[in-house]
Amino acid sequence: MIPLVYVCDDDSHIVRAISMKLKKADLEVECFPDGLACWERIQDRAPNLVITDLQMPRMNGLELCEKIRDFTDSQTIPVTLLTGKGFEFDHDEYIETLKITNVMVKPFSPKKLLAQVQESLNNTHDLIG
Amino acid sequence: MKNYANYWYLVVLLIVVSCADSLLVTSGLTNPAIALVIALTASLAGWAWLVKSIQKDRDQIMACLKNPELNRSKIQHKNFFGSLFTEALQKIEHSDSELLSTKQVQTILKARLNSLIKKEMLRESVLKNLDTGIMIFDAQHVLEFSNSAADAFLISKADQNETHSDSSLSLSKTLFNDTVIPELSRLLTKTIQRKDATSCRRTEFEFTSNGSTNHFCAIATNLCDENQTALGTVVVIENNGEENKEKTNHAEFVSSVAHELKTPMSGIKAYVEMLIDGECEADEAMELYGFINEQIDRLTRLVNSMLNLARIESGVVDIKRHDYELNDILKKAFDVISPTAAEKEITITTQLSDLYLPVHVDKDMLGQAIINLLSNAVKYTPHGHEVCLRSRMEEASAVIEVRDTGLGIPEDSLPHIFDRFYRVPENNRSAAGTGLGLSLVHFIVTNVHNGSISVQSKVNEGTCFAINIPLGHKEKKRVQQLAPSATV
Repeated sequence: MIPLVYVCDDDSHIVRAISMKLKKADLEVECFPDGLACWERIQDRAPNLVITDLQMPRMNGLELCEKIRDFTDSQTIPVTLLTGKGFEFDHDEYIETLKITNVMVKPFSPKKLLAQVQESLNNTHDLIG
Repeated sequence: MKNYANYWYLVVLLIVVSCADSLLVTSGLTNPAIALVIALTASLAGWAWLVKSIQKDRDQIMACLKNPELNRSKIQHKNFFGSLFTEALQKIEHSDSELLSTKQVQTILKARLNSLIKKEMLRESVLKNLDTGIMIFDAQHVLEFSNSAADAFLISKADQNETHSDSSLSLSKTLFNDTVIPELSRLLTKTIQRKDATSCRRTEFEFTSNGSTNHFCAIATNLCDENQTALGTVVVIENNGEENKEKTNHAEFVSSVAHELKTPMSGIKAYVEMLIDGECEADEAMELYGFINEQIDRLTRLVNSMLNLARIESGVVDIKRHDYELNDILKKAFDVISPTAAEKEITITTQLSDLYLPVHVDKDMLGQAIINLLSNAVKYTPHGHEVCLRSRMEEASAVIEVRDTGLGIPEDSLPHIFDRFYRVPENNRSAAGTGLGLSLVHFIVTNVHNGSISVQSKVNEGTCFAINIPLGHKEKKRVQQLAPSATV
């Protein structure tokens, strides 16, 4: 079964770049312009992994992550958070409290992002197995 | 052998006398009694000479002891006790020099110790008198030092019996809980437990003491020696007061600018990496080059607007005020924003005065102010709503209105809306921004054009910004004033 990844960012170029990279690695990708649109879709069909930006209109990345963790069908989904923030964002705290799998600081390498996505998917698969 | 020469002479003399004596007795030239007398006389004479010689040597040594400047080498070579005396003297001198050096070292050490004590006292005095609170914990997390400014944050011994386990991090360093207020305890615990992530952490907190609440910033830093062995942790606590507000705003502004810059940079990096890795077909690659170009343009616009803002506010940019018709400036600003509004399906209209509105303005700056207002209106107005740009004449002023049916601004935010870096918290997430647009508008209207700006708003109903600019052309008046004098 092809793993499904949701990509959520209000910047269309970032969404496009990530989407291209993941599709070339044979992953199924759906893109969303904000957290709310992504959350609505998650309730219909839970993905295998979510990549979300931190700052977005309507619903930001942390709020989306809280919703994911509170929802039974999605609470174990790995979440990768993209952020343009530096030291003022306490990565450790959110990794701990919201169980965010990875945090990638912009500008990021799509290659590294793909490697992290594949590792997270493998870990999830191992856990299920 | 030289210093024993006298005594050898004596021995030789006695041997010669004894031999001569024996020879005389054996040959019968003299009787044994006379020979005995001769031998005894010679021995006594020799003994007397020996005693005298020893006395002389002793006197010589005594003289030398009394006067060290005398020639010792003479004694060494000619005196019976010379070498012994010289050796003893050398040993005494060596001991003296050792004693001297020990005393010198002792003096130097005392001086250094005094200097160190003075420096230590000076440092302690400086730390104690600082307005900034200092707490130093040793490697076992025991409070080693705190100054008076930090005392307020320490829990008194009487209170230590009470529970202060307010932390949500299941503290293992309970000592901190007993010693300092919960905010600092959490900071210390995180700093020590997560030292691999960063050696330094900061937190901000409010603290009420003697009935007044103040805002503080605390920075905890792990201390290590050159072998990376933990020495302890130092906490510096500063009262931020009013200064903090400005700093926080500035930090938020920098963070916001950084975020705005990093977003296009992320796109560029991602596309470039994919092109380098050769993951794209030729047509795809061309498309990516186009996107990269767009992102670079976006970055350029962003940087330019930041520079413009800094230059306008600092007065570096020349203000070029000339006579214009206000509606011409408004129409140009409208044309700039119309495509953005159309993209968002917002109906943007103009209701410009039919009257000629003469103004004496810097058209670029005023145009920028109107663009900022229209841009904000479009940003904070949902799809399908309306934005309207109006102009009219009111007594001696030209009035420009930018009205929208958007999110509106809460009443408590209205007094701050023109503050630098201020962003309406409720609308913060609706659109990206730096919180500088409206403060720039305010600066351009009031400082550059002697005008005024006001705002009326209701949440979920909309907002109306009204700018008043003095009416009238100034250049024509000058020409008219100059004209008669020129003809005379």
